Order: sequence, then C-alpha cells, then structure tokens
Amino acid sequence: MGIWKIFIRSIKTLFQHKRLWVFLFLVELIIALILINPISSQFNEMFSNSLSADTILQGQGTNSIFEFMVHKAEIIAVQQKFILLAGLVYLLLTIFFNAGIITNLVEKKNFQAAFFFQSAGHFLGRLLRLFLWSLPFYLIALILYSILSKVFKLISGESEPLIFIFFMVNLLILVFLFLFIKMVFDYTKIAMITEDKRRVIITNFKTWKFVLKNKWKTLSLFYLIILLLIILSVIYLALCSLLHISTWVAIILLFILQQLFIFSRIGIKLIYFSSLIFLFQNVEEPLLKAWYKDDSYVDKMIP
Amino acid sequence: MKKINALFIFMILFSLCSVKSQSIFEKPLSPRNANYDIKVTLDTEKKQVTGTEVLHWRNISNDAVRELQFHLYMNAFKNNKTTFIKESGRSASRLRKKKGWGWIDINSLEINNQDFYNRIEFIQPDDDNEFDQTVIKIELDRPVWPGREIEVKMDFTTQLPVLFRRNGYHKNYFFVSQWFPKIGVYIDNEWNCHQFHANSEFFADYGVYNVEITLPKQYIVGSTGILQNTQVNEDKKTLFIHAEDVHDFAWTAWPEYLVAKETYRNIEIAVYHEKDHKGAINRTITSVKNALDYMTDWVGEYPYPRITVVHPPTNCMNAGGMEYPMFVTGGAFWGVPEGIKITEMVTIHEFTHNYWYGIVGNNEFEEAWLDEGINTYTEIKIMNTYYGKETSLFNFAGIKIGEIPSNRVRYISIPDWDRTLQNAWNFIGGGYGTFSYAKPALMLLTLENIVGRDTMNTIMKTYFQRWKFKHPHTSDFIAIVNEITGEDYSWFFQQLLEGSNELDYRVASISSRKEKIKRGIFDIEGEKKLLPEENAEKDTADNYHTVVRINRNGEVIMPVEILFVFTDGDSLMKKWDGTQRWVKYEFFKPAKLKLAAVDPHQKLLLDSNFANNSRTLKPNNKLETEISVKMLYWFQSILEFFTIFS
Repeated sequence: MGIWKIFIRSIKTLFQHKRLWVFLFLVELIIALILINPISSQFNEMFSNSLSADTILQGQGTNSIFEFMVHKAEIIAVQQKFILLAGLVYLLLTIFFNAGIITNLVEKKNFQAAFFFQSAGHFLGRLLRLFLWSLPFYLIALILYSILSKVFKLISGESEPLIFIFFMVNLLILVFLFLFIKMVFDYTKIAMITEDKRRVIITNFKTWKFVLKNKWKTLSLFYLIILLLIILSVIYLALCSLLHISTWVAIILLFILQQLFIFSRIGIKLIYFSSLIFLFQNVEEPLLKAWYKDDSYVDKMIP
Repeated sequence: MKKINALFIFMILFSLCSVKSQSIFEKPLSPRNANYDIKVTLDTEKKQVTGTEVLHWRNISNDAVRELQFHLYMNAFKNNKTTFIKESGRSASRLRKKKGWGWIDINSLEINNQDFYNRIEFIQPDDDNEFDQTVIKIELDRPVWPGREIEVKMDFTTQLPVLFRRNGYHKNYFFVSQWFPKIGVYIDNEWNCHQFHANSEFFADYGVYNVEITLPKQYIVGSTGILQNTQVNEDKKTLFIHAEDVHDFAWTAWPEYLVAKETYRNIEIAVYHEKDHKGAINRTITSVKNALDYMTDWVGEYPYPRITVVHPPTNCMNAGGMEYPMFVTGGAFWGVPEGIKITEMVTIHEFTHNYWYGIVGNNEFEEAWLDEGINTYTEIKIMNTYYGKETSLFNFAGIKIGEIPSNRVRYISIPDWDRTLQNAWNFIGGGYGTFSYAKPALMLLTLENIVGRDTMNTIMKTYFQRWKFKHPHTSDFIAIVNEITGEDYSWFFQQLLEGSNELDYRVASISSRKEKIKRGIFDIEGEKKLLPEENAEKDTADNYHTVVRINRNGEVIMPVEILFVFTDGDSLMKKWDGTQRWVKYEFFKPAKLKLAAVDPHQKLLLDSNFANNSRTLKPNNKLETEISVKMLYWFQSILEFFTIFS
C-alpha cells in the first residue's frame, strides 16, 4: 500500500473513532479547565472591575500583563510548579492512553471505556518502560546537539550571520533527531501492542531496524502528517488574525476556533497512530495475518 | 640661506603647533581647569598602553589646596580583592578565568618639575579596603592657591584587562577607557575622588585634551575629540587628537572597524561598526539625528562638532552601552528586525548622556540620578516621540512594548527597596538600575504631568543652560523647579528622592443603591409627622446613594484627582490632597454610579498598581470570558507539549 493510500485510509479511520476522539479531547479539556482556575481567577480579580480591562480588551494590555506578573508573582510561581506537576501527570496519563488508543485503532472498534482502559492498563507497564528506555536516546540527541554547537561555533567564528545560521541548522537537526526518535519509539509501541511483545529493548531494536529498512516510507508518512499539522496551524493562525476586536461574537468565535484547532490536533494524533499502524501492518503483514484471521486479537492479548 | 633655513624651521614648528592646538571653540565653554597632554603607545602584543601625561591643573576653588588626589581607575581590575571586583560578584570571574587582570603603574611623577614620586600614597576614602588602589593622594610642599595652576608630569603604564565592563581587549580589539591617571574634583572645600565601584560611574573637571596615540598602522581608531593629524612611520602611526571642554577621554582601536559618516546640523556623526552590523548604520544615524533635533529644540544645541558611535563587534559587547564625551558605545546585532528598537534605544540613551553627564557634569558617584535618571527621562521622551508611545521599545510579532511600561515594571517590582539619593555603591543588590534610572525617570514624567509639559520644558531648558559645563547638585535642580513653577516642590523630591516609600492609591470600595425613603418621625412645618404616610406607593426614593472609598496604600502622599462616572453619562472630578489614609465620597443622584477612578489619566506614573486605581460597579464579563478562553487554549497546548515525546 502506498503512503498516500495509508494516509487517506488513516483519515477515514479517524471518523470511525469519533468517540475516542471526543473522549481524548474531553480529558484534556477538563484537566486544562482545572489548571486555569487559580490564575484566571487572580487575573479576573485584579482586572475585571478595573478600567484596565478596557485597555486589555483593546489589545493594549502589555502594561497590565506586566503588572499582573509583578503583583501576582508568588501565585504565578506556585502555578508554574502546579503546571509542571500537572504536565508530568498528564504525560503519564498519555502513556497510559496511548496503549488504549493503539488497541482501539488496531481492533477497529468503537470506543468503549471498559475495553479502552483494560487494554491501556494491560500495556501500561511496558509503555512506561519503553518511555524510560527512550530517554537516553533523547539525551544522546542533546549531547550531539551540544557537540555540533561547539563545532559550528568553531566554523562560524565571530560572524553573527554564520552564528545565527548554524544555530538554526543545529536546531533543525535536533528537532529532526527528536522527531525521528519519537517516530521509532511510536513504531515500537505499535509493535509491542500488535505483537504483544514484552521485551522492550529487543522490540525497540527491531523497530529501529524496521524504520531504517523502510526509511523513505516511514519518513515520508511522518512528514506528510507533520505537513497536515502545519497546514492546519497556518489556517488557524490566519483565522485568528481576523479576530481582532473583542466583541462577544469575536470571543465566542475565538473559543470555537481554538477548541476546533485543539480537537483537530488530537485528530491528527489519531491519524498519526493509525497511519503508523497501517504502514507497520502493511510491511509486516505476513507476520500479523494470523493474528487477525483466527480469533479476536484482544482475547489473545488480554488474559 | 640662513633665512630660508629659519623660515623652514619656523614652518615646521608652526605646523607642529597647529597640529596640537587647532582650537575647536572660539571661546572656552567650560572652566578648563584640568588640561591634559598625553602621549602614549599601544603595545598590541602586551596589551599595554605606556606613555606620559602632563596635566595642567588650576585651582578654581577659594581654598588653598595642600594635596592632590588622582583616580587610578584601571587598578580596579588588578585582583579579586579590589572594591570594584568584590562588588561585581560572579561576573568578574572572567578576569580570573582568562588571567586578564588590568592595572596602572605610575613610573615617575613630577610636580612643577620637582620629583614627588615618593609622595604617592594609596587611599581608600569609601571603604578602607587596603587592596583597593584606585585612588592616590600626593601631599604638596606648598599649597596651590586659588586661581593658581600647577603642572603634573607622569610616566605611566596601563595594562589593559581582558574586556570587562567597557575596558580592555579581546584578541586584537581594544576598548580603552579610564586608562590614564585622572585628577579628582576639588569641590565643596574638599577633594571628591572616589574609588572605582562596580555601580559607579565618574566625576571630573573640564579641560582640553591633546592626546597622541601611537599604534600599528592598520588599526582604526575612534575616540573622544577630533583627529587633527596622522603621522605614519613605517608600520606604526601616530594620531593627534584634540578635544575641548570635555571631562574624559576614551578610545577604541581595531583593524577591522568600518566607519560610516554623515554630517547633520554641522555635526559629523561617525558610526564605527563591524561588517556584520552594516544594517545598523542607518538606524544609528537616524537615532542620533532624531536625538539631535529633539535635544536642540528642548534644551539647547550640541556644542561639539562630532559624535562617534561605536557598535562593538560580536564577543565584545562588554564594551557596549556606555557614554564618554563625544564618544559613545551602542549595541548592534545582525538581523534584528526594525520593530525591536534596541539599537535606537541604546544609541539615543548614550548620545543624550552627552548632555546629562557630558555637558551638565554632575557627580555620578554621589547623585547618579542626575544623569541616569534625567537621561532615561530624556530617552523615554525621544523614543516615544519618534517611535510611538505604545511601541517605542518593541513592535514585533504582534507584541507592543513602550518605554514607560518597561520602566514601570523595573520600578514596581521593588518600589520600596531603596532610595534614590545616595552614593552609587550603596544601593541594594540590583537597585542601582531601578533607583538611578527607572524611578527618577518616572518621577520626572510624573512631575511633568503635574506641572504641565510647557513648564517642564522650561525647567529642563533652564537647568541645562544654567548648569552646562558645571557640576550641579540635586538641590540645584530642585531650586530650578521651584523657581520656574513658583511653588515649593521640596515635598515632592523629599518623598521620591530621599524617601523609599511606595505610592499606591486604590479605589477600596464602591456602592450605589437606591436611597431609602424617609421613615420615622420628622419635624415638618412645626409638626411631628410619621413617614412614610400610609399607602405610600414605593419603598425607595428616586435617588441613588453612592459611596466611594479611596485608600492611600503607600506612604507617599500626592494630590490626586478622582473621577466619578454615572450611568446617565454625568461625570465629576474631585481633588484629594491624599494626606489622610482614606477618603470617602457620598453622592445622592438620580443615576447609579458606573465607575470611580483615582488618577484617571495616570499622571502619577510611580503608582505601583494601576489596576486598583479604578473600580467599576459591574465586572467586565467580556474580559473574564476572553481571558478564560485564551488561558484555556494555552493550558491545553502546554499539556500537549508535555506529551510530545510520550
């Protein structure tokens, strides 16, 4: 199956998993709603009865934002820690959900909470180990980045344009490496779940082999999805730029637009996983055929 | 033949004299009581400046001066125990790491042709730090009587430090300031000659400088003054530089400098830059032109024929953002978008220092606000005029930042941590910038709002014209404010310069309710009547009873205006002297109160919290919703960010 076909099929798959899509969106929305409460209430307490509110609404609120940061510095500091903590918790939650997402997509089932959480729980330990195993790879990428920084510094000397250009090049290399590692580890997740593998390191090495063997396919599919994300972001930013005046209609439109964008991003995440699964299955079909023909994959998977 | 020889010798002598003494001004602009003839050689290998200095110092006080005091600023970089390095904290580790210490030695000293070398004594007038050798004292045999002049001859060697705080070298780049033995200022019946501190700048008398610098011929030199001649001798060249009515002399040398020049208002603007900073040339020249226009109209003409702006190259930014007479250093970076006004801000700030520090020569050690504060005020006014009040610092990617908010943030973060009027080295850590720059600048803007722009313009012009080429004190500035306004503003300056209190007015509470109808026994037309009468149609009157309480949270007392706006569009303004802790206003009007605002036009820019200056009866639901909507999106995005590599 070609990359384009996989991509289109993944988009179609997304609409077969609307409930999963909505579920993931709602979880994120609820956590974000809990998180914003302390800081938004402080902001509103400071400004909602003040004439500064009008200035902020007119888009000239830099002064007020600065003053908020100064006067509420302690609360902001607490909030930052709170966000960090919540972010880490959400990270764990996402690792947990990823297993549920992949099994749901593999199984081509409609979202059912029991099945979702059962499969998520089943693979949580493995995916956590996989996450920990991924960290040294990111670290190696960072070390490479710092080595390259030094090399580029030597090459660029004291030329500011060269310093800037090499910095950007190095940054792009780092982003590429990070995304590449992420992609490999996502294939590992898929391999572990679809093939019910328990040995994290061996499976990971196998997926490295798989990705490198099929580098053009894997990379082009990956960047096709990135392109989709970029296109969506550009459309979002263009529409946002039209909403300057803080009227009620504009605020409501902004809310709809932002939530649609978030919803779409979650959709792209599902498309991403779905397309990776399709590609993996497509290439590894002989191996997997038996799994799907006999009996339920889940029956095999969950004792 | 002899005649020809004599003529030839005369011509040579004349030409040499003319090299050294081509005057810039017809009449001296300043007292010119500290005049220097300096001849030095820059050793680019050893990073040393060696040479001789001849100082002609005239006693312009009414005292008989029995000793001389000199700054040896470069000794601040001598070791890790000097006052400057100790005060600099960790930033000075650069000197240690690169073993790039700097120092200055006087090798010989003659006063009126008499050897005084053994009389040199290091003193530490500020902190008794025995390791600090930045000030010397020389006791004289005979006093210098008022109006009399002495000649001091010195041989000296200056070892430049690795580039640190606008001094030193980086590879073949040299920035040379505070590099020669410099006499202190005899003022108020004593020597004013402070040690070099991390947070202090300088104070010196005006004079004429004739400086000869010999260095490898490939070096491009920028400096205070006017280059009058260059003599090339094999691989070396000697520059003859002349400056009048200045109180310092600094220079820079680098073979790779490019120089862009333009003449405006008969003033040559020279921009020294590296090849990567070509994009900053026009921005720099335009900034200087704008500043020249503004300052000429506002306070008076820039008297010198030249201004040199140096943009230090990459890795030499330690030399950036500093002022010297006729010579300033800015800051330019490759590829900085037009909307980011860093080059403009620094250039304008440093250039206008030539007015406040250069021409009006206050004591930067003791009253730094007189130059840094007034100069920041000047910078804000110029930047706001030419680049817009809301966008004067930053107008890029949809973000707009003006000069006033940025200075306010600096101030309101620590409004009561310290006071402005004190020695520069005594400020609380990080306080020098806030209380010498931001707070006095905001104070002057507040004063302008109180006295009116025209009056303030007259104040500034009078201050400049009266104190140019002199050494004013804070009291001289206040005296001019009082003179021009015809009122005593001591209360204003006492609180804001000498005091460390905070200014904060707040609308503490507002209420506006229907007035109750009369109930009970009332004496009406000599009879006791019970109100309300039976069958009264309603329980409330037509009027609203409005109560507003204003609090003064801070200790600073300022008269302030309070605006009340009612729902029928009616509004009224009250004035409160602010002397009490709080004040209550009551109104009985047919309309409900919409809002109350203390200092509605934000005249008091030192008010540490503008948000609490006003209060509306109804909350702004629109803002609450918009902020919640936006925050929700940001937090959702943050959460997603955390999971990218899950």
